[in-house]
Amino acid sequence: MRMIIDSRLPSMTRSRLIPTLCLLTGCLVASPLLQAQNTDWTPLNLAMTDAVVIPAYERFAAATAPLARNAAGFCAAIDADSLAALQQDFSAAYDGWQGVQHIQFGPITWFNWNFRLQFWPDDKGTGARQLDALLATADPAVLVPEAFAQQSVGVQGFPALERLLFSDDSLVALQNEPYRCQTVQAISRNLDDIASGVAQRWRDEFRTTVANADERGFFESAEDATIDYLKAVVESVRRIQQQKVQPVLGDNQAAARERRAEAWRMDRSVQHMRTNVAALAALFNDSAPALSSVLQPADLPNIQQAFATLQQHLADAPDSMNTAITTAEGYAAFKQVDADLDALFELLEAGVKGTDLYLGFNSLDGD
Amino acid sequence: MTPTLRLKALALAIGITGLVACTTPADDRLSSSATATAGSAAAEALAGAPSAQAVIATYVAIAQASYGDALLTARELSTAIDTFLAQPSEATLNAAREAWRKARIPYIQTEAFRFGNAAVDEWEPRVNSWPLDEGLIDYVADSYGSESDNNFFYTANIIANPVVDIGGISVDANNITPNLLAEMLHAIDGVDANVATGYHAIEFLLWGQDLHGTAPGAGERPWTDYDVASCTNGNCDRRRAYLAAAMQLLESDLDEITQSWQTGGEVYEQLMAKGENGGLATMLTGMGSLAYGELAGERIRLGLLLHDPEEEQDCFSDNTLWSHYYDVQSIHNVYRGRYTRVDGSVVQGASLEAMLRANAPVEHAEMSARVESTELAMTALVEQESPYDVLIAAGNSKGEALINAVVTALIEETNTIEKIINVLDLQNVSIEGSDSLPAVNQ
Repeated sequence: MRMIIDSRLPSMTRSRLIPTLCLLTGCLVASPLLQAQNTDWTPLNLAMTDAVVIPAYERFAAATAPLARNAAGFCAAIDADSLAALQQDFSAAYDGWQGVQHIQFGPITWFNWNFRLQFWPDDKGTGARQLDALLATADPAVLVPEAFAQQSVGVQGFPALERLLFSDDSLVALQNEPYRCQTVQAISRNLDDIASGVAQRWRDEFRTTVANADERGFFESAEDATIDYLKAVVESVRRIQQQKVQPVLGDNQAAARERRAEAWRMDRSVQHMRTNVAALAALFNDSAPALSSVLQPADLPNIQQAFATLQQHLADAPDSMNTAITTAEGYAAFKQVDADLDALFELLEAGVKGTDLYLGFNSLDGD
Repeated sequence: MTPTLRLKALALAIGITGLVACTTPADDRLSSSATATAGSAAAEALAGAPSAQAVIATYVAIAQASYGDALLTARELSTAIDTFLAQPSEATLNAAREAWRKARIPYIQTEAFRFGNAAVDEWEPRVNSWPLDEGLIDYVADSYGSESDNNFFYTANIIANPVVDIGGISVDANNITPNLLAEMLHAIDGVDANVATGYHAIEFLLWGQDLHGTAPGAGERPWTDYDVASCTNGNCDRRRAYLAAAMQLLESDLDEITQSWQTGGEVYEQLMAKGENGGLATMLTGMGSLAYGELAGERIRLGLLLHDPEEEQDCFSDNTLWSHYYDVQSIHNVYRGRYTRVDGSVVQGASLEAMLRANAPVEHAEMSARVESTELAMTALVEQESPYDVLIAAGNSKGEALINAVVTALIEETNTIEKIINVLDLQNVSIEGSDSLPAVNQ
């Protein structure tokens, strides 16, 4: 279920390939050409980029800056208040990431940036094992930014920092182990370097790539670029369901396991999902023209309704997933979210099938 | 006509041909069976494009031969394990390990048949689940750690503990039987990493943990772990029972899937029920899903991200490079309609490649180049000296370059497979229960 591949697979429109199809499949009816879709892809792509994507990355970078700044001065005098303040900074930065987590194309895929920010789910607990080994070695050279960027992604990102800041013994351990605190600083700086790097590359570089997508450089076509935005919405609905909800719920309430939630140590898994779904809805709707315009108009009311239902149920669900799943009522609330995500995905998938757009193989394949 | 309606019309047309076909006896549904004669591919090329029916027939013939070979070599492994357990020694343990390596060769070549065939994909975790939290099965080193957020059974150590009660689940493991492994322990508590059965459980039992980190060297389990008279690491009788039970299961599971590919079997019938486009879509789904999410992603790229010696598929035996190599063969066997059996004979017939060569020369040329690039990159990887876990060490830039070349080639090949799916107009062909085409799933 982990999403490992970040390099993009350009997809393509079918229309220029249609003439050969009957030769190959021996179809019995003449195949009419697809109805030409009246979408002007580049203005749509730029509208999404300028109104939704770049602002979201800028919010993310704006949230990691205070984390890095405050972490830099944190180790001099650690007490419960200063730890709580840094935890707040961390939560805000993590929220910023949740607002762009679904965008799995463009600069985020460069330099392993996406995995360095968050390697999760970590089914094998590799990050925890590697973080323990790193702390045991206590080698200062490893924490130098250039060297730290080359370490396992399991120790570089949000999950590792959450473990350092939100464990039961975090305060005492950070007070007593200078190297542990230096690791907090290294991860915080790393997160900020990456967040500001991605925002800058979108602004200064990738926006131009999107604007020129028809010149067959990075993208095969402007329509091909649109498919990446659409994939960001459709695949993410499934990913939230399969990674953030279902593993926690298990087959029944007795099998529910809060430690499989995305942010169980800080118990903000629900807030993360609210941010995720709001971000998906924004990418789908909040530009002019909007991504929703690529689907058939007749399919949209049900999709919009499904978005609204999901958002309402997430808003109504308990804030703490950790405790909610121990009660029948709380468990049922997240079963409902599971069902809502499923319904939304099915509608989106059916909507995509009603267009010329083919999303292609997905990176969630695999064990 | 909207795209949706157009596809329905096409499906209807295909459905009618399918209906006619379905009235004929089962064995005639594949009009052309694959043969073992050389030169038929050349003949196909001269004769023009092979029919979809003939291409699918080759696909089935190769699947039958590949799973048949996997079963055959598993029986040889079973014999070697019997010998080892009867006369434990360094030599008999090494013979069993060698038999395991040989058994991997045909099994890995079946992997392109997994995705797209729902019944195979459902069956597969029984035999090839990975990665595993091996502390479920047997003793582990301290460096393994003692707990996992995801897995309460991380260090359950069934071989040492006849009774286990964890997280409200109690396990009576007094008798270690195939049934206990398959029905109780495998994926216990809904955790995929609780791998109690299959090739990798057996691999762990034969090699033990590889404690060399990212330095050269594989697992070094002593043969005396299975010698009741001079038992090392305790519980040799229970370890012997575990190995025997796991082997018995692997054999029966492979027997089951081999039967399922025969006429009347579940996998075979499901495939036939999909019709011609469904069959072609299944073939391409298997190729693309294995190349992309599974091989390039889960099994290869992840190692480079984590630099972790456990992040290699055959991590106990250090056989990983060969498993990757034969996965690439598996993809290309399906494309070329050609498989070399373990006895050296060749199964071949009408191929997807010949179909494209005749009808879509642009995509055919592109795919030929991709296949060649992937094989070159993969060959470079297996021909160098270092095992996979050495190549993925942090700072091994040569290893990273070699591995990245394979990942890039596989991604480009998948890209071309998508173009082939487009040119065959199979984007929206429903292959029921599949995890990959084109839906986001799994």
